[in-house]
Amino acid sequence: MSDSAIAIREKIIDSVRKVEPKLESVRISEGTSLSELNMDSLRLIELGVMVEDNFGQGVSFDEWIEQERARTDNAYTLESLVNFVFKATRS
Amino acid sequence: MTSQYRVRVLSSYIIDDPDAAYAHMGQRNRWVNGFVTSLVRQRSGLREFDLQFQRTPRTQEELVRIVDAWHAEGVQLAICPGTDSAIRLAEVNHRIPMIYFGAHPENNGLELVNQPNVTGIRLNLPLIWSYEDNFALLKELMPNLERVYFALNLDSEFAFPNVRVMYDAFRKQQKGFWIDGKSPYIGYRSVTFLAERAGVRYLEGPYGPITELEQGLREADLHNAALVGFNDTVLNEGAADLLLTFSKTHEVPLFWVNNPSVIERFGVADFSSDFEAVGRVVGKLALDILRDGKPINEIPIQEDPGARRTLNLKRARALGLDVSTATRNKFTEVIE
Repeated sequence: MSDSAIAIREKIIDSVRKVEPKLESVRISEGTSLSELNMDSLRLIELGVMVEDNFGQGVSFDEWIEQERARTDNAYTLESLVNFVFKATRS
Repeated sequence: MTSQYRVRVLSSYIIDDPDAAYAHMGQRNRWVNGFVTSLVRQRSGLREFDLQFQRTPRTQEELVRIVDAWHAEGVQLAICPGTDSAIRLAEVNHRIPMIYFGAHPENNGLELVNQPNVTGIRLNLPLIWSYEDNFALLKELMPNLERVYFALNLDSEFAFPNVRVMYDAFRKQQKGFWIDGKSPYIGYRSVTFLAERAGVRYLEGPYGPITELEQGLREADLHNAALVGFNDTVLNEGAADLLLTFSKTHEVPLFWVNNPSVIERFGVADFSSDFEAVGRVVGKLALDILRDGKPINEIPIQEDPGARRTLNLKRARALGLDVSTATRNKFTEVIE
């Protein structure tokens, strides 16, 4: 993973922990799915706002959710979100 | 962790049937998205809230029990999507601050905000708020439009007492279901003026049981006609589905106000407030009260922050409506 992607990952994990303080001591890896973290729909909305605020208008969290909805497996993983943000911030 | 703000959302629009056209109207209109966004932007967040959603119960007795429970829990703020819930809650809740967002056609029911623990956002009902860019769009979409039928639910708080008096008087005359816009018994005369300007006839149909609405629809002259629904109809179980089914079966264009999720099924267009913007205002007011200690009785009623119009182009075309690019561009969202 590039330095930029690592920085994106760390910011997203930081946002996840801000949204849900109970996850402070929970290990979150690339393969971790947001659904495994028991984030309810309201917290997903909040995470989305933080991600968009952190990474700029080119990032649409709703678009990522739609993308993940279409997956049959490994949906809503941190890796997928990091890749999504990485591509969106470079286009 | 510091103590959380105990907030309860009381809504009549939490629907049991997940397959109903309007079951996800809150998600679709995104007021919650706006609310959460506002919290984040004001350096707060859901972690500071004990936020729970409850459906407005059918009876006032149940509502009293809910409010009693809220007092026991130390609830600090209630949020009510919709005038119907707000009026009903305000009758039994005089102490817990309440923020609501809801419509007051022709200013009916606005005395609600005189109650010291109540403030809110007044929604405009865009279709009947103005002619240009709103009501006029009905005629742009349907140049041959001759009559519009508005169904109104008598079992909701939108049947305001002064309007109900007129309806009761009309019913005693036994002149049918639909009240003509020129009748002295019409509930919302402002809509008559909009219709006259568009060159169409306006007919208002207050109904109680759904069987009355069924009968009324059978009486309607559907030639070059359109149906219009409001969310008071969502409060009558089955009524919204009836209008959708009737629209589909008889190929009568259906329009709605404040519910794009209905239009996504078989409606042609929806004229909504911008609920995401409404949610942002609610978030700001909530923090003003809870975090910044602003007394709710110092917060005046807020104006509607804006409108969103949704066009179901697919349905429009299926009905044979030829939608020009200029008309299409007047809609915020176009479903294809």
